[in-house]
Amino acid sequence: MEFLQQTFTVLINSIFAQNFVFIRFLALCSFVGMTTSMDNSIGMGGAVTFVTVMASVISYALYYFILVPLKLEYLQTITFILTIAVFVQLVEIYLKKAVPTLYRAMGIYLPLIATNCMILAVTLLNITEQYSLMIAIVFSVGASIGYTLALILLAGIRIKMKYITIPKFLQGYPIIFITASFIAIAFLGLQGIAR
Amino acid sequence: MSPFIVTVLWSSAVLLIIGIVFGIMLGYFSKVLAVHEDPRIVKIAELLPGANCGACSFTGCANLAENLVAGKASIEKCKQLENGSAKEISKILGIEIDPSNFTKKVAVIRCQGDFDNATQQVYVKDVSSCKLAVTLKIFNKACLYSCVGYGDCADICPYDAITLDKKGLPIVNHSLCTGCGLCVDICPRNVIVLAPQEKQVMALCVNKNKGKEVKDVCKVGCITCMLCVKKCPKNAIRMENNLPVIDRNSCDLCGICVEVCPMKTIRLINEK
Repeated sequence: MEFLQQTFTVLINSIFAQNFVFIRFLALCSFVGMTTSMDNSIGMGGAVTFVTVMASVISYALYYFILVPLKLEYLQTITFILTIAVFVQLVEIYLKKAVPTLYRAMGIYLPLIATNCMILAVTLLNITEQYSLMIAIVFSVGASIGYTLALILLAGIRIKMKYITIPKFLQGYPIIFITASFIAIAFLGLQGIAR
Repeated sequence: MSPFIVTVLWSSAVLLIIGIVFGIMLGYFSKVLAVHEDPRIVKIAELLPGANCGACSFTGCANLAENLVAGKASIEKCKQLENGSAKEISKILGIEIDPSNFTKKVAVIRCQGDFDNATQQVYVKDVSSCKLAVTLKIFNKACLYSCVGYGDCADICPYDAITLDKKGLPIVNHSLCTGCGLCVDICPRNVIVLAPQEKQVMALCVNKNKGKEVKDVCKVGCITCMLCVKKCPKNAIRMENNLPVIDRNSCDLCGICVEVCPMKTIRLINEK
């Protein structure tokens, strides 16, 4: 029962109360870059979910089975970056073979997942918060659901934005940043829902 | 050895081992999951413009290259291919092509009805697209054939070759235009055509009405006076749908039609 409670708390916390995009301000580059259309943002969300979960499992194992016994905990950042980069490469090779259409649709954004700071943050937070493996997986799933939710929210608004007249000095990125800040303020109101 | 050096060596050795293990893993997987691509596809994809404009009806230049090799598409599908690369692609594929299909084409706006020339009815400022304006019947100009002037062509142009000028007409920058034809497809009134980028005369009007109806709505529209047809020394001009059509094979660019046209509809284009 206590485990279930913790799982639920971590999940809700990572999706809403500690949303990686709106509250922690991570992964902002792909948040703005990949929200031009709904298809783009859903595809990017799916790929990031996959990489985040796999990278957090592997880096968790690396940390507790290699770095801790060797007393090299301070190498965690560089090892995790290595893990993520290798994993993104693997996904790229696999997609090229198995789903070439998706590979072409992702284009430049697939290698860019490697530099998505949300994934590194999730793997590092797994360690600093001393989560168990199950909770770490739940945390990474929640974080990527929150990220996908943020992408879909902004993509929906940006599609509507095409049909309205925006003052000239706000056209392009300024209005997107202002919109994102309003959503962030709205998310601030969800702070209290999880302890 | 001092403990400091031991720590540095120890940690870098561990990192090196982790790196080597990852590297071997990646190398193994890239061998197992390697994709055997036809080398011709890569070569052809390099020769194609690489703009992924989608005008060929495939999802991008790479996809067109695949279909070319598979024999499912013809080279003429690519509208921006120039003569040199078209020849090389045909050499790779081992087929013959007609070089006249690959002269560079540019978009031409066949309307001169700007704010000064065309009769204005209302001007609704907050309409964002020509398509919307035509659907809702918000016409700022009285002419029902003219450019609507809300700039759908400028929005869709992937090369920023089309801009709206202050008088409400789009202007094509010929050095940026590649002739992909996206603007031709999106224009709700079919004002834009693709024309070979060489000196030629063209009637810049698409109004199919006659005399007075045109004169009421535009200062530069074709009024079907037939003067150009009568005065052309080569008989290269004929009338179709009340508009002059110039046969480029017999035209010798004498410029008489440009001079006699009372409405200044016929113009010399692509002078440079």
